[in-house]
This record gives sequence, C-alpha cells and structure tokens, in this order.
Amino acid sequence: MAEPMLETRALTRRFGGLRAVNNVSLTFEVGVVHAILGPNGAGKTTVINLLSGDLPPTSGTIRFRGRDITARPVQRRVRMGIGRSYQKTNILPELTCLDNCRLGALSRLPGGLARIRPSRAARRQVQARAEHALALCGLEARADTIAATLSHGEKRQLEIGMMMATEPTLLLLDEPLAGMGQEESRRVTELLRRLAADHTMILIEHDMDAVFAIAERITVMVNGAVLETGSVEQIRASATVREAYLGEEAEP
Amino acid sequence: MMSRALSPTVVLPLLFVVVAVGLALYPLVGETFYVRLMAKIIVLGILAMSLDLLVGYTGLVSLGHAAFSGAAGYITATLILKAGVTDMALLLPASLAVSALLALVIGWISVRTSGIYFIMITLALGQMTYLFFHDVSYWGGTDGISVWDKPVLAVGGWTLLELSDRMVFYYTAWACLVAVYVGLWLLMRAPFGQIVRGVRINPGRTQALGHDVHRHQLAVFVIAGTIAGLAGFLEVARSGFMSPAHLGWHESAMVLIIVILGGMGTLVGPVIGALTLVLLEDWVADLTSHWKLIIGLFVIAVVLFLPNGLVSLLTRGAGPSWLRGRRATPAEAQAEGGDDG
Repeated sequence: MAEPMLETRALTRRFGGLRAVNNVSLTFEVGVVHAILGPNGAGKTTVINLLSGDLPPTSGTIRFRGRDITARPVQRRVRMGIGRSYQKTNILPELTCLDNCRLGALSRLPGGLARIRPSRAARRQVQARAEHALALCGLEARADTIAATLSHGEKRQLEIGMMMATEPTLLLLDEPLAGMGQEESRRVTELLRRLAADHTMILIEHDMDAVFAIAERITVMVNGAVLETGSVEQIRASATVREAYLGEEAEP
Repeated sequence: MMSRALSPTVVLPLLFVVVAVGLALYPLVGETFYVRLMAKIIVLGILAMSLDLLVGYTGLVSLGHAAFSGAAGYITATLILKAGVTDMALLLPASLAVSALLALVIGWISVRTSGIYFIMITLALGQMTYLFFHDVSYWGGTDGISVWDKPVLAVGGWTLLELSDRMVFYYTAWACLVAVYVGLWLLMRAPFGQIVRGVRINPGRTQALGHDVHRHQLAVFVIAGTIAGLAGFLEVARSGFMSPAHLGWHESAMVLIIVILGGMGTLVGPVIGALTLVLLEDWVADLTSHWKLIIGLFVIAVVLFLPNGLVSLLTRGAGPSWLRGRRATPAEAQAEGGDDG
C-alpha cells in the first residue's frame, strides 16, 4: 500500500488522571475521508487537537507523509499542509470575510522581506488564493462583509474557507456542521463532498447522514480508545459498535 | 459620500498630515517657549507611536516601554560625556542597537506570556533596567547625566546637522516623526502588518492559519523598542539630560496613557495624545498646584466617554468596527460568545 497521509502510533494524552486519548494507533490513507465517531467524551476532539498540534501528546508519535511531526508546532504543520477547522467557530470577527481568508493565504508567503515588501506577483498570488478559498466555501458574494455579521451557517462556511486558504492537503474537520439548520447543513455537506474529491479528510461529526454520505472509513472511539475501524458497511454491521454507540441512531 | 470620505483609513492619515504640517509651521509663528514645548511633544509623540505599535496594533500592553528609550538615552549621554563622541553617525546607530538588543532580550522573555502576565513581566523587566541605571554608580545615580555637547552630523568636513541649534533639532525631530509614521503605516499595511492584526484579534486562530505568533510579536517588540530608542536619542539631543526617571514605570505608564488618550491603533492618536497631555499640563500647572488631579480627571473622562481616544471624535460612526468602538456590537458579541454549537 502507498505511504499513508497520516499515521499515529500509541498516541496517548492524559489530563491529570484521565486518559482522554489512550493508546490510539490509526492510519489515514491518502485521498480517503475518514470519520471519527463516538459518544461525547470519547476523545475525538482531543485526537484532532493532537493531530493539529494544538495539544502535545503525553506519549506516542504522529507521522505525516512519513515524517515525524510529533514535536512540530501548529504553524509548521499548517505550512506542511495540515489544515484544521474548529468545532467552536473560530474566526476574526472584526475583519471582512476576504481578510479572514487572506490571513490563511499569507501563510504561503515566504518569511522575511517578502512579508514587508512582497513582489507584485506574490501579492497577486495571495489575493488569488484568498478569493479562491472564499469561492470554495461559497461566500464570494460576502467578500467585503464583516465576518461578525454573518449568519451562523455562513460563519461555519468561512471557517472552512480560512482553512482552505492555507492550501492544505489534509483537512482536520471538527464538527463542521455543528449547530446548523437543515438547509445550511445540506449546503456544507455538499461543500465537503466536493472538497473530498481532491483532499484527505479526518472528520468528526455527529450528523450521521452527513457522515454516511461522505465518509469512506470510520473509526469508532469510546473512552479515549479505538473500539473499531473499518469501512462504512463494516461499522454499520458491527455488533460491538451497535452496542457501544450507534445503538439508537442506526435503527430507523 | 460623507461616510465614504470619513473612513478612518482616509481620515487618520489626513489628520497626521494636518498635525505634521501644523508642527512644521509652528516655529514660524510660535513663541520660543512653546516651540521648545513642541519639540518635547514631537519626541514624546515618536515614543508613543512606538508603544502604539505594541498596544494598539499587536494587543501587547507593555508597562516597561520607557526602558528602551531610557537605555538608548543613557548610551547617547554616556558616549557624549565619557567618550566625547558627538558624531551622530556613531551615536544614533549605537543607541538604536542598544535599545534593539534590550528589546530582543526583554521581548523574547515577555512574548511567552500574555494578558496581565505580559503587563507584569514587562513592568518587572523595565524596572530591572531602571534599577540597573539607577544603582550602578557609573551612570551617576539619581542625578543622571547632563551633557553640554550635542550630536553633530558631518560628512567629510561638511556639517549637515548640528542638533545644538534648536531649529535644526526641531526639524530633525520632526523629520523623524514623519519618517516613523510613514514607516509604521506602510509596515502595518504590508502582509507583516496583516498577520500582526490577526495576532491581535485572535492569536490562536492566526497560529492555526500557519503563522508563528511569538515570532511576529517579538518582531514587533524589537521594532517598537528600536523606535523608542530613537526617541531616547532625540530626548538627550533635546534636553541634554538623562536620568533614571526617564526609564521608570511612571514614564512607561505616562506613555501608555498618552496612547490611550489619543487613540490606540491609529498612530496619529498617540501624537495627538502627546500634544494634548503636554499642553494641558502646561496650562493647568499655571492655574493650580493640584494640576495632577485635574489631568487625572481629564484622562478618566476621555476613557469613559471616548474609549477609543480623542481621534474617535473624528472617526466615530465610520469605518471598521475596531475603530468605531471597543464595545462589541450585538452581532459581534454573538460571534464571540454565542457559538457553543
């Protein structure tokens, strides 16, 4: 098999006495949408935080395209191509939508003088990336709108647009549909499906319709540990998973 | 049309042009005493602009900023007094280098903290710098250092600038004020400034978009410290005097008040803040011996009724929200607190 996009080995994160993530070894293949499911408190968001670098692991390793990134800070991981969106909307409310995306696009500028006096080409590139990201998330009409005035659903879209402006190859999506109405949910699911065509995704989502619509592989976590990993069909058919988690939701 | 013309991105630079032209013309009409006062205001304005870069643009509230101007001032005064150096081509780079280096050290430690801890650590390190110049007898203790010779800029026998001449000093300082304003204005519009703005608004998210928050904060800290060093150099050239009081936290707090009074994150605000505070002090001190009380009440009134400083009298109701009011609009409040979805 080809080199995986991301691989964790015995990843553990303790908070005091609690093992929020316990000995998690997972492989995320290139081009695959891999959902992580589990009840509240299962450690899903902690896994994302460990993968993005927002939290350091207590032990274990993370390899991205074969390189050990366990000790790399967030910003270096982003520049390597790991983008992340947050469960709680995390935008810059006082800036316009385009400026929000531009901040992501700027991470692709080289450091040093290019950040003080960028060439015309570099400036144009940043602008193009920001506009492209805004179009991707479906907010091109809102380019000059102050982000604080967006609707909840639009903010969630912007959240994804900002991430896309950093031009990631791997997307870490922490409940992208959180708090959305049906119509918004449908729109963002469609957006994710489009992004899935040429990106690798790790997705946490409670909306099962959305998960089953886009995910190709599913990992179920309970109490910080991996219960089972498999294809959508395997997970749907799994008795252990049914018992531990899906139970009520999987039944029609 | 009106609201477009009143956009802060237009009003603020325009305001600076008005202030700069006013300051340039003032010596032609003003009394000597007030021209001297204006020179003081210009130097203080440069110092306040450098602090605004930290406080207003980067969200780093430093209570030790006078350490950088003071250290640079001490180096200038010492080189003049003890080494007999008056060559500006040597004095200026030396004092800038010292303030930059000090800012690098203090900044490197400070940017690891944030909020109240950042205030406390800059205060502590600023006071350490103060004590260094206060206690080491080489620097002359509380009395400080008085110099009679002023920096001179000469190239190949041609004297270009003789800062002992009041008018030459005045316009040199004025040119520095304009250069610092233009330089910082351009810097804050550049990608660097856009990233710094992100760091101020939402450091966590800015990092998650691929930017090294600490490195940008440190870069700003060093730039601000170096410009403060320029102000320290000019202060010695202006007054011929440098004492520990120039580095103490009183001085740092005064500069911070000037920034808040004029309007944070506007660059021109701090200049107007310096102008207002110095002129007000001069005026009120003539009226009553309790002048500090009156100044205090004035500062409180401005903070209460014009939380964005005096420049918001001109920019209120127009432009981006970060200039309109620190108090979030309902939509913003929702954006910050209501998304626990």
